[in-house]
Amino acid sequence: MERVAVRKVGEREAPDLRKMDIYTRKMPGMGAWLLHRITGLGITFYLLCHIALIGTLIFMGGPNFNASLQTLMHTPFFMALDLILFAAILIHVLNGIRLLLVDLGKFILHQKQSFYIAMSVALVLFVAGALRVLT
Amino acid sequence: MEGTRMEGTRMKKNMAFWALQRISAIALIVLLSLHLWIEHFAAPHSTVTLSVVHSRLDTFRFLLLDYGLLVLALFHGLNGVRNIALDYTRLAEHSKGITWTLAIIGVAFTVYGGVALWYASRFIPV
Repeated sequence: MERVAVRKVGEREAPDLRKMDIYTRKMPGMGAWLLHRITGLGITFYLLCHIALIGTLIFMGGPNFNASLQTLMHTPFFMALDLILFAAILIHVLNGIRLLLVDLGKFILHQKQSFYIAMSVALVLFVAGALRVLT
Repeated sequence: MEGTRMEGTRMKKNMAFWALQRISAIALIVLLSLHLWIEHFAAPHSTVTLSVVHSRLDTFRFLLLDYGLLVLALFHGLNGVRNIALDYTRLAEHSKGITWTLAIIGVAFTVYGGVALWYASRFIPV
């Protein structure tokens, strides 16, 4: 095990727990954990903005609501932002389904593979959704 | 150390939050898929108007969808933020402050969104 650092304890050598690098940044599990957190925080921030914006537009009445929605739904800049949001949602949902299955005891020994499968499904759904909106 | 040990009631509360996070996740998969399909993918080149929103909110299934999404997404998102924040502190008084701050944000946005949905369903837009 090359990852385990060794230190002298009296006469013998023992694994240095302070330097044990079990979860390295390059492992897919760490990537999945980080991706889930970053997408979750981003989606939650978006959700608060979404409620504040759509709620305010409703109070501002029909013409304002309709004109703003026209801009938000069909301007290239906002469509690009929507696609980033869509990608974040897909990553979070697909990895979330994987986590639910792990909680139920499924794929515990195949977490790397299940993560790659989840991300592949997310990619396919993203391409299908993007093509539907853009073409 | 004072405040670092998890007492029984606190542990029960955290277990309930753990379960609710997963239950809300399952419900959100269904509700969010419906929301995205209806608003964006079913007719990608049309625009949602307030009169459409108004007439939709006359039906029970859209009331359930919109209020359900509002409450469950806010709970799931803010509880997720709480889980991340609690990874950085173990002190009971910190976690209490975090929980209450996020709860107030959640209630405020639920009320604002709820009143907006009620306004959209109650008053016919021009």
